[in-house]
Amino acid sequence: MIRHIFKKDLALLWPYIAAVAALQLVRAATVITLGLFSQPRALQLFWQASSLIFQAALAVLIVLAVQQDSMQGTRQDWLGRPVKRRDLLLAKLLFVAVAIFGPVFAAEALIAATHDFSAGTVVAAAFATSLSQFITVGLPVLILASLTGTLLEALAGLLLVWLFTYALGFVNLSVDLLNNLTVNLSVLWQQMVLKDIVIIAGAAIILPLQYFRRRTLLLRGVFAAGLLIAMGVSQFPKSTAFAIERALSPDPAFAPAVSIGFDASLGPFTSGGSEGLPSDPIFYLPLKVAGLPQGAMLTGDRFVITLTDLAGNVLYHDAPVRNMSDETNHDGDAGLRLRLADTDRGTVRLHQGFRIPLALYARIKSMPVRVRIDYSLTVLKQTVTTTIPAIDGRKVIPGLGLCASRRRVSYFGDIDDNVDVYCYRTADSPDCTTSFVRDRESGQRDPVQELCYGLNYEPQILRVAELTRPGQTVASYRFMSRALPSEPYPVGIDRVAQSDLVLTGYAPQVHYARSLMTPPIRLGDWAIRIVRHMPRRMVQ
Amino acid sequence: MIIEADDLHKSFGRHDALKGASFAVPQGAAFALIGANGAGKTTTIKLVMNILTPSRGNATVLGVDSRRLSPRELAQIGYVSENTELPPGLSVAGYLDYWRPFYPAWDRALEQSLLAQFDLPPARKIRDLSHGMRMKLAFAAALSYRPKLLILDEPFSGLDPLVRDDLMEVLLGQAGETTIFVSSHELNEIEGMVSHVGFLEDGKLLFQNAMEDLSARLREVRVTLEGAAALPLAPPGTWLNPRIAGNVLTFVDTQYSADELGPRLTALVGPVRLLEAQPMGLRAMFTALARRARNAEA
Repeated sequence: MIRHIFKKDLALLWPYIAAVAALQLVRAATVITLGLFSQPRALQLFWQASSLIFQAALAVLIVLAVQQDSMQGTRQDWLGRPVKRRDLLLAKLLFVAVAIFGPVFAAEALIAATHDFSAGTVVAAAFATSLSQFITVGLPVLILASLTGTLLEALAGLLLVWLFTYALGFVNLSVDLLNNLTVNLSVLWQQMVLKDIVIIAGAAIILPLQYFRRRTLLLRGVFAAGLLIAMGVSQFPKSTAFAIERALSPDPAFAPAVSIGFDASLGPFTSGGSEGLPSDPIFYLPLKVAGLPQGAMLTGDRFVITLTDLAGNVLYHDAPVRNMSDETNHDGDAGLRLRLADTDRGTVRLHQGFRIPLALYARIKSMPVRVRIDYSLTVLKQTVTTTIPAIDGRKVIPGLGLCASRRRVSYFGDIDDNVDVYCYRTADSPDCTTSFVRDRESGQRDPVQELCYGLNYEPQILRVAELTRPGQTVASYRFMSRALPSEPYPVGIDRVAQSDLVLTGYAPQVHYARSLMTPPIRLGDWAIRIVRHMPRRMVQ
Repeated sequence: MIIEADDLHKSFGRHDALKGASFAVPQGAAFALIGANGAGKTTTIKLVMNILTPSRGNATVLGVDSRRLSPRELAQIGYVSENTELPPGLSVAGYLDYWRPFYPAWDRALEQSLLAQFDLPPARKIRDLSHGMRMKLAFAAALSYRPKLLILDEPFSGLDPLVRDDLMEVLLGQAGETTIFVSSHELNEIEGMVSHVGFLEDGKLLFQNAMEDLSARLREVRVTLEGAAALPLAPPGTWLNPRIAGNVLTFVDTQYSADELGPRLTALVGPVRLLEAQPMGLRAMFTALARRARNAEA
């Protein structure tokens, strides 16, 4: 009778299905129009707004489908009829999967099919996107619809869930800032997978129980508990997240000899301006990183700093929060990201800055202390090197995707001094790239720049090609670098039309922990208080 | 027995909607569960149909625990409730098309005959039907498979007399073939069709009897005495609501016997000038028995 119930729902809801499918088509047309460079800006805003509207319409349609044979209440016609509960549940799942997410899949496939990829890649990308929406939107709404009796009740429930999720997200952020527990883009996939598992498990528990036992009140409690668990999975400690990453390292044997040590011979950090706002002092630890393979990149994911006196008493303990999209955070603390240049011969020396409270600094600046830093590190290796004309290039690059380059256009329509490369990324597309401009005639090169945008340690098996959304930035080359104002740019913006952009992709290979313990030092010897410029790597 | 309920209880939070209902519906009977609004009739029916789960006690329907009713049993039960929500977007024909495959015994000819009898327009959407037409459709969809048991919850409530007559005519046609379990507070409407009654008040079943037995036993008695008299100090327990005004004594006799009543009256209240014993309608029986039950409760 599954087919029969399905057909009945189809007959009753086809106008809504058609409306949602039309909305999906509009979204698809918008994404196709936005193209690789995701322009114009107004259309991008429309796409984002239409995505929200589409999700809401999707939710309404799911609620309507489920509540055609509502599980809540005692007045439903089907309750006195010989309807197998199992058939009813399967019919609703079938309806949501086929009649609702079928058009979603078709539209996603339509978008993906416009990018010249193989049919297999297109279907896989569309299926992954649709499945993701089915899990994150379809299943929760399906559960909520089965626990409510009317559309209004369901929408009120959805609103509550939405508000709760955002409120908890805000609390999460605060907890993260205070206790340094969670949010980190590179391990975000773990939270997302765990949330998906909680949602699937919740659906596997709640839906059969509701359809077979109709225990609405009890199951509403289970739903609320599941919601808390789904939100709570982002609260497990970062150390655990990185322990998982270590266990999942794609190539655990890569770069086993990497070490980080204190290197007093580097001397105190001397760069940085004397102007600026007074703030907490930053002490700059001179480091020597050794054992990196040629062409590898090292990135610090997390640092835990502990200051102790010589008797071992802890004076200060902190795990500075960093913005993973940059190597410095907004306070000026330096992160750690190294790329071994050809001349480095496996060893890099640099300063890494840590901010400590002014009162503490004033108290201990002259006393000998030991500094211990526990690092969570990732080593990335080169995966792909390619060239593309710096302007108006467009090509399929294996290991990167369908990419195009152009001079950057600002929101106000001005052309500035950046060259951007956007790609529809394939599943094996790297998260970090380096790029430099090379004059096609003279062979001259501008300095190498790097971009790690949305560094993501998601295992390869979970990755799919991002073909159903506008293109993503994979490289952004700025001719007048803020960070390295003194570095020469022999090619320069004037020759950009006659130049290529040489791109190198980097992918995570191994994650591990390293610890550093300094000999007794005085912070006053290594700290400065006024900060204007961010410290950068200083290769010796 | 087609339905047997044993000490059924149902609570909604702190409110006890049903406080112990036990009754039995024999095969082929037309059992009316009567009682005022809020007495627990609908709750009882929903427990029997496994739409609600009893807090205590149990019921068997077609020999199966109501909590274990499966599609196999439900395919033999026709259920019509005044407040059932039918899918508004389906047409009359679409609605019947939808349910037909669920019932192996669905009789297409009977369905067509009921549609014609009820004058139901096949193409019209349910949302465009009047309440009466919706009830007719519900009846058509409940009778087309010749159910072994027909369960009706206030089926005539809010219907105009013409519709009631139409439905009653169809129900009377089912008599004997189908066991009917009907709840109603419209006693006049169901009087002609019921064979058994159970009286539910404030969540309790106060009595259950066969109509034949009640009709034979209960009489509204009016006695004109030779002279003024007083009520006996201890009137028989079988007299309900005895009253005397001057020389006229009235009561309901629950154990009426034409041969025994006269001598008994003479012995209790003196010479009788005129004795009238009228058969009672369902409403009058219900009122008298309910009063006695309430008094006994008190």
